[in-house]
Amino acid sequence: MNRLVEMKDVVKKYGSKVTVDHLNLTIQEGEIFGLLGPNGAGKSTTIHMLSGLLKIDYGSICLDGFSVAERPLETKRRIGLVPQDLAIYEEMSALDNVMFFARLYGLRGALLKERVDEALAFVGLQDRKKDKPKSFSGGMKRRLNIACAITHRPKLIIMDEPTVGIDPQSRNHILESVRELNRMGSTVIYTSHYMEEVAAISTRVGIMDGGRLIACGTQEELRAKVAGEEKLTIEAQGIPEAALEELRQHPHMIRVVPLEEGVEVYLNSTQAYLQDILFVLSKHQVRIRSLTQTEPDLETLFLSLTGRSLRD
Amino acid sequence: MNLGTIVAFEIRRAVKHPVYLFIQLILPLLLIFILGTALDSVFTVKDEKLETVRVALVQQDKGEIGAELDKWLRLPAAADRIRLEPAASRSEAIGRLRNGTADFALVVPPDFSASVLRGGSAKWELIAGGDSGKNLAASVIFQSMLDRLNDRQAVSLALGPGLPAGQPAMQAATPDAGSSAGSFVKIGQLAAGKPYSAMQYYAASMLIMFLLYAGMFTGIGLAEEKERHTLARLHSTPVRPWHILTGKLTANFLLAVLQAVLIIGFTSAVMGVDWGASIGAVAFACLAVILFSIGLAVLVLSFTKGSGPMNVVFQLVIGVMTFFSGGFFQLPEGMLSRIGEFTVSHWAFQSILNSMLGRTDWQPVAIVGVIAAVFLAGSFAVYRKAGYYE
Ligand SMILES: Nc1ncnc2c1ncn2[C@@H]1O[C@H](COP(=O)(O)OP(=O)(O)OP(=O)(O)O)[C@@H](O)[C@H]1O
Ligand SMILES: [Mg+2]
Repeated sequence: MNRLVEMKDVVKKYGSKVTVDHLNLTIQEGEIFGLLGPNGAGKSTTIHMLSGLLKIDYGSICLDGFSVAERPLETKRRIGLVPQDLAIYEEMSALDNVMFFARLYGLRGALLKERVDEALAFVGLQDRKKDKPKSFSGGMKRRLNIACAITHRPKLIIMDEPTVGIDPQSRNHILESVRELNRMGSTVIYTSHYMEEVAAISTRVGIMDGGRLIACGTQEELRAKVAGEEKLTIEAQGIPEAALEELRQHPHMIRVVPLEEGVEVYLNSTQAYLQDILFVLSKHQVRIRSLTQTEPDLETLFLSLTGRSLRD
Repeated sequence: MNLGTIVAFEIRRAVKHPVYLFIQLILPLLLIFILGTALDSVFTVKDEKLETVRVALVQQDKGEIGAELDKWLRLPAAADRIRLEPAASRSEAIGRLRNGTADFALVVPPDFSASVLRGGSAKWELIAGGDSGKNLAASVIFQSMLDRLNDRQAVSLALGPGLPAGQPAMQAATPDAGSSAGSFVKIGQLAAGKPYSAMQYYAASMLIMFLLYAGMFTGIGLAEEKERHTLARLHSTPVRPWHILTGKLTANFLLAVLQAVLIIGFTSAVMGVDWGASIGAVAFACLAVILFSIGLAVLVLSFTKGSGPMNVVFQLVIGVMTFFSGGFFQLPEGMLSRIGEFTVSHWAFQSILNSMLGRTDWQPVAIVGVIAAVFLAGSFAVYRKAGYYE
């Protein structure tokens, strides 16, 4: 497999704040690479540098052998960026929008028409193409946002949180289309702070936090890093601080994460110590509503690496 | 070729905006029409027939000057404006003023001629009636007559009584009386007698103002694209950043040129506005104003984020420049209009007015061109430093 993207020691600063911190990342052709991280992790900043929208302060990014800094037109030609923030002309029809961006990627004539129709059909907007996005739902706008980036069949499609703020149905539609685009030959970079989405479609995952890539690999590789952990989710109301403290004191406890209604405890074997946990909780008169034991996932990994939850 | 795509898209986008079309085309025409019609009387230096003033004349002077006064009053220039109503005495004249059969009264005392020619004080008595307009008209007419008499007094003092033949002073007064009545009318005007109509005046000033607004829309458009992230998206396509900016500016430039052509065309064809013979000067002034306003948009864009500040800056600049250049109403000579000389609007305005007056004066045209060129170049330079995005 070919290396499509190579980021070496990439740094981006805003003032004195380091937003992307010596990032090294390689993405192979044909992958769906999920970039996972909480808000403000630096995902969009990384993507904007790759797309040529932001200057790189230090280090280098190459795409398909071209330096992003030195040959921006060559690299931009190979990218289809689906920006995190909707970037469509609301007062122009869906067709006008897609057509305009397709032209900017150099499509003309019959091919232009064919590709534009194809893109609109791909996102399921063929029968609304004459309408203005003003009248569209959030999900439809997101889909149009995607259609504008794919007419030129880019080698690399970058989707920056394409499912923010939309209904589950549109969300599934978008996830399915990511797979489809990948099958049609595009490499995909997909950012999200939803662990489930990234887990569902990615062949490889990078986890970012505070501007650094804190973990990178296939999902199996990443899970293996937290193989020793098991998670027990206890649903209950009003667990007193004393109970949490006592749980933390347990000799085999890895981590205690209080939830709004309950608590998550991480142990290397939940089964072995279940009795102990229940004992502590009943001692503090906590009424338990349910108990769920789960296998380690990307969320677990993020927690174990940062001590924080992805979601907040 | 991408440049063309951007230009075409930008033009289609603007033209699809009904508000844009209204503000940039309908509104200026409407304003030109309204201001031009409403303020027509303030501007036009018509040979307006003044209402005849009925003057109760108590002429008691049987001397030389009294005879000349009679003669002068019967000349067409004076007779046009004055209808004499001879009265026997001062009290009869006042009675006529009271009952409305006269508008004004003039009492010439019996010893007037003698006194004037002797060099003594000569006094006419002017008695005003109830209509201030007619009073003013009459008093100005008689005042000009008096001025002449005073000249004559001076001559007479110098040369002694019995003037040399021709009596130049008095004769000169005759044709002058008409024009001095005319010049009185002009004092009431805002313009010191410039022979363009209100319609012409406002056609020129509104054209300039709305061409400046074209720059505002350019700037707001760019700022909005920044806010709505389409600009970032454009920068992710394989188009040179420079082409993105110039493409958008070119489109707006073309639209503004079209706007100017339509406004000039419509006002001259339908509203009868005469833009004068120097179409070159008019066109050049328009181009300069458009380029200036686009430069301003680029400059503001380099310093601010968002369409809000763009709007505020432009409204302010346009308002101030239009005011000081006399675009809303003619300013009296002095400080205010001197300030106007620091605005691009002023020089553009003067270029167009000159054309309307049939003058060929290339100075204002050159000045407006230089201002626009320097400003545009400067704002591009600033912009290159400030950067287009982020
Ligand atoms: N133009 C800017 N000026 C200053 N700071 C910025 C700028 N853009 C981003 N940042 C900061 O950089 C950090 C990373 O932002 P970035 O948008 O890359 O995060 P993200 O991972 O995409 O987050 P999200 O999930 O919210 O999109 C944030 O703390 C943000 O505040
Ligand atoms: Mg982001």
